[in-house]
Amino acid sequence: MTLNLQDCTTVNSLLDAYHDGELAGDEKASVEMHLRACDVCPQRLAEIGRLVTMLKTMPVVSSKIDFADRFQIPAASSLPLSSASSNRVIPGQFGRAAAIAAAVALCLGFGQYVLRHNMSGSEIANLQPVNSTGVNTVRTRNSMPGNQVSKTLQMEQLASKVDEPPSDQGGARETPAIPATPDTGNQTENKAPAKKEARVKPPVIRVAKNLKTPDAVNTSLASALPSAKENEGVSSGDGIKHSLVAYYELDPNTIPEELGISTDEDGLYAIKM
Amino acid sequence: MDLTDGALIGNYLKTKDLSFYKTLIRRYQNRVYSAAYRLLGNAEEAEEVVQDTFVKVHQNLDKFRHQASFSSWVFRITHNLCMDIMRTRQRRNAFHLISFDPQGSEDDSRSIKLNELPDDMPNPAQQLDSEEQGQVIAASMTKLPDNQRTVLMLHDIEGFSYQEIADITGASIGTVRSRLHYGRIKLRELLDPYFSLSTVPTASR
Repeated sequence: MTLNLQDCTTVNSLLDAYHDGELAGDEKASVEMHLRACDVCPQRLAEIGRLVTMLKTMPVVSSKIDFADRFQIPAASSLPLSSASSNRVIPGQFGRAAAIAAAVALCLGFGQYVLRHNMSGSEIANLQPVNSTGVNTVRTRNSMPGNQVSKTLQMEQLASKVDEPPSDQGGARETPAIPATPDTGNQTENKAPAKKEARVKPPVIRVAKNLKTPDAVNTSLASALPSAKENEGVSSGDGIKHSLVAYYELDPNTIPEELGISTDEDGLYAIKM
Repeated sequence: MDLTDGALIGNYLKTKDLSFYKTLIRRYQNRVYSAAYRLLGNAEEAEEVVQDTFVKVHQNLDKFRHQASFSSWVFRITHNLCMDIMRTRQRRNAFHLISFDPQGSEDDSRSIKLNELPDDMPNPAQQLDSEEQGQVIAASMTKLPDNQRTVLMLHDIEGFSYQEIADITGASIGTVRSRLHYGRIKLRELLDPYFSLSTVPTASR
């Protein structure tokens, strides 16, 4: 019996499943019938067999770590309950942390944009807001209704707030300053000196969150610290609003020549400094 | 006689004696590590995945009784954690591509230079010992698309059935079959210079 190419093509697409014993009924019978009559397909079947044998006999990779010894029940639970909370950074928590970090990163980049373009408050308000899945709303402080953060707070007070446990519902499960991604890792709350290889000195960033102070006092932070700039991001992914403020100082001599902000479809931001 | 996975879980939930759960971890840790390492190609990330897998398994252990196979369930968690890492990598790579600037200065360590991509594969002409063979196969597998590599690893190395792989990856059996077929074709092409696997031209691509 002579078989045309179409038969071989069809059978070839089934050969892997046939080799693996995953064909049944008519498919299996037709492949077996073809294999008896064809010169080429049995060779292909043998090739598949050789490849699979090579994969099965690959040296085992193993870690020196005994993960059983290392395993500890997460602190908040003694039982394997699905509702148990963990003090580890699990993906869900990491996502929230990443959203906050993205807000800080965006605010920083936007602040620099404003700084470089010397924009006024009304100009800022006219800019289109950026929406994403990770950070629901990110607005500059000047366009925020209610002005949730008082301008009277001094930098020292803000810095001290970072280490305090949150006093309200919003931040109870958050870590205060979150260097969640490598791209933003050395930008948040980091007083350590910049890496030697870095071409430009990063700005000094201080982050405070969930600050709620009266609006009445209206002393400008800029007057207290002329080179300081500020921005605020709001994350409300779980229905609870978390506000996060990034204050940073910029030495005019260290403003980087290039500043690029890129976003992807998931709304994550990367800033090139 | 060793207790089954289900018996270990049942005993642990009943007695809260952690040694039952640790027995489970020891039973699976090497397979989970191996799978994560082969998917990610990175020991450090693979170790993190193993650790996170057993934390997640522990957190959801009371739900397991509804699952058909404990190993499939464990590998599904491992698979999801690995996919998270691979997706993050893709995003990072996308950023690298965006930031690539051919006019950029020489000291810009973020720039990608195509001719500097690592290729530490042995020379195809040389005779390979078994360890080198393993290295060549592992390195070739890293060149497969993530979904094909996953299916090949789960089937040909870990020995899961098509149905189990469909459960682990969330794909249909037809998709699993297709990914395995094309993944093997691609891997044969990659390995052919080293092992002369192909004796006939490939009829379907």
